[in-house]
Amino acid sequence: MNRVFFCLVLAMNYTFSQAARADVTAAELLEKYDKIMGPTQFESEMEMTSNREDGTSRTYSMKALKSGDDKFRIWFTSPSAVSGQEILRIGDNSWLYLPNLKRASRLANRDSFQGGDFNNSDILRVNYTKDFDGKIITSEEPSSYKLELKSKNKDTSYDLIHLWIAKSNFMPLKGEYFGTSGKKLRSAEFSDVKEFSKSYTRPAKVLMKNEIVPARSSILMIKKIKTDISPAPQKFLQTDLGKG
Amino acid sequence: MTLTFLQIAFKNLTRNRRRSLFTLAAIFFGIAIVIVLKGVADGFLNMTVESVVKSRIGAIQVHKVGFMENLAGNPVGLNFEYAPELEQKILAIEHVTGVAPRVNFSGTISNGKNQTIVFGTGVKPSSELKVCPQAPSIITKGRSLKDEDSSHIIVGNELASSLNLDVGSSSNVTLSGASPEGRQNAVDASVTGTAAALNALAELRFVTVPLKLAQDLTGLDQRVTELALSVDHMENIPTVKAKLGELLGNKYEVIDWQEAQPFIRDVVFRQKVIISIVSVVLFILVMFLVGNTMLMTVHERNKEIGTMLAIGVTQGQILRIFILEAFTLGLVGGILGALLGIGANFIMSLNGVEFTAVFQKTLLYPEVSSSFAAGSVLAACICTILAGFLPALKASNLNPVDALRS
Repeated sequence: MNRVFFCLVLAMNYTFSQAARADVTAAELLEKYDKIMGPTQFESEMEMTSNREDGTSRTYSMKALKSGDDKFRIWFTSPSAVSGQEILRIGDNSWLYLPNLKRASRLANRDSFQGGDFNNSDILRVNYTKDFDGKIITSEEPSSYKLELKSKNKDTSYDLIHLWIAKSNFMPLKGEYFGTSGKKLRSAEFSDVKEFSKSYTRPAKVLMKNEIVPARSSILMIKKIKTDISPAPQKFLQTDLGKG
Repeated sequence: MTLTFLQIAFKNLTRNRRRSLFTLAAIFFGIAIVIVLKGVADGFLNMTVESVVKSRIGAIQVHKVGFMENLAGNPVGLNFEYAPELEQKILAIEHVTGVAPRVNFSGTISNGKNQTIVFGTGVKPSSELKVCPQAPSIITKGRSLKDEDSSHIIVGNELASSLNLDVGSSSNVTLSGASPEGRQNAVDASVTGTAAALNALAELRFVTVPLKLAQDLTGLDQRVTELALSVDHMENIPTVKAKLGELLGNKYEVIDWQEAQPFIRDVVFRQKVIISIVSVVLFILVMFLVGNTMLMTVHERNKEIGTMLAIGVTQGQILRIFILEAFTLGLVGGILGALLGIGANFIMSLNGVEFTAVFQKTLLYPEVSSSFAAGSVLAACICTILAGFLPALKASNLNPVDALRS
């Protein structure tokens, strides 16, 4: 009996130490982050609320479709002012389609997403493995890994990102985004972890705070998300813009 | 013979002192007013142009091709390397007196509570002072930038009031911008001065920062987006433009202040047209006054003409006397008037006339060319001759008896 108990304790110890030990690499953590925050393909309904410095806020509802690493499509459904607008990203190029003008104009990665505190690349281009070199650094909180991401190329919106990832379930907890000068531009909090399907769990809420104008912040809420889909390729053609 | 006629003409003038003085005064004041007006108007135009050219834009600007078209988009994208060798080559061009590197960028400025879009310029203060010697005059409050400043900035007056920014160490702001590739960046700065700009909207978007700060913010490193040049005299601009074009090749666009600020060019052109019309109208009025006076004097002298005709003076000789009289009046009155006008302009230009035109605290220096003054005098002579000729012709056609009786 004692022996069994001893073995059990030993086994438990081993398991705990396994979990506690920082034997995951930064690359693995980044890969996990990318899988959680930007699965290869998904179809979702989202809501973004942006709180502005004058005290007003505005909520945008949208449907999104992602296929592969570099194709993304968004349809805005409300408010009526933006309803019918669409965004298409193919590789490094993004277009915003305006239904009134019946034409698409180019979007820059650094431009803010619908005037909020996310920029276009925060929403449209989640692939940290491709864009950043990661390094695990000492975290202030023992329950999380802290990653320091340094940009690999000049095209990323941020020069440096600090990312906290929960040790227990590898869910992102918070992020801090820095400019070349070392100044903190934005900070994010990831919360409301939700199991959207058996194989897919992610934080349903992302709060992006503007560190330069602290009164500004934006919240991205994932209402629904499905990952077991196979998106039609014609949805990612410029000619499809405006066709719903 | 002519000398005799001139003597007679002169005697006639002195004989009717009141009448002559009246005509003379009309010409004198008319010419003086036209010259002063022209001087002030030209001085005003020069002041407008100089205050813009020498306080902000420089006489000539160099950019990468396409810059002016993309100004509203992302000016940082069209950048080029600015090496000391290039500076030396440009300075070696005849008539070039200074060259200033600049970085034009768009971004936002925030006071921690609010943020707004700005169109900023990164400058090297010492070079800037050579190219735009009047740059310090646009500062309304605080001081201009110095070479040793690293995180000090100048903001437009409207921008300062809309974000509640005051000059001093306490007014910390954050400037945000992005590299041509889209890398976001932000730096902290303090407002060291506020400045006037061409209009309220420009003032609301106006930010001047040290070159290094702009390069750091936009990731341009040692590169710039604009070179501003000054020349010794404005009339040498086309020559310098052509030489710069040869030196730099077709990857660069070389523009002068008129192309850089078409708005100012148009304002100047419109003012020139208006002033020309006013000058011409004024001149015509003066000439009518002179003509009227001449008409009256000739009419008053019908008896005299009759006497002359009676004693055998020919029609041509009478005409000649009257024309010489008119010419003398025009010449003397014109020269005196021109002297008064030039003198008045000169006195005003000694210290300048304080004027608020484009920016604050500007001094207007009236100036008038000698050719314009000479032209005015000549025009005065021609007008008085014309004004004297017709009544004299009429009088000399009279029957001597009728003329004596009238």
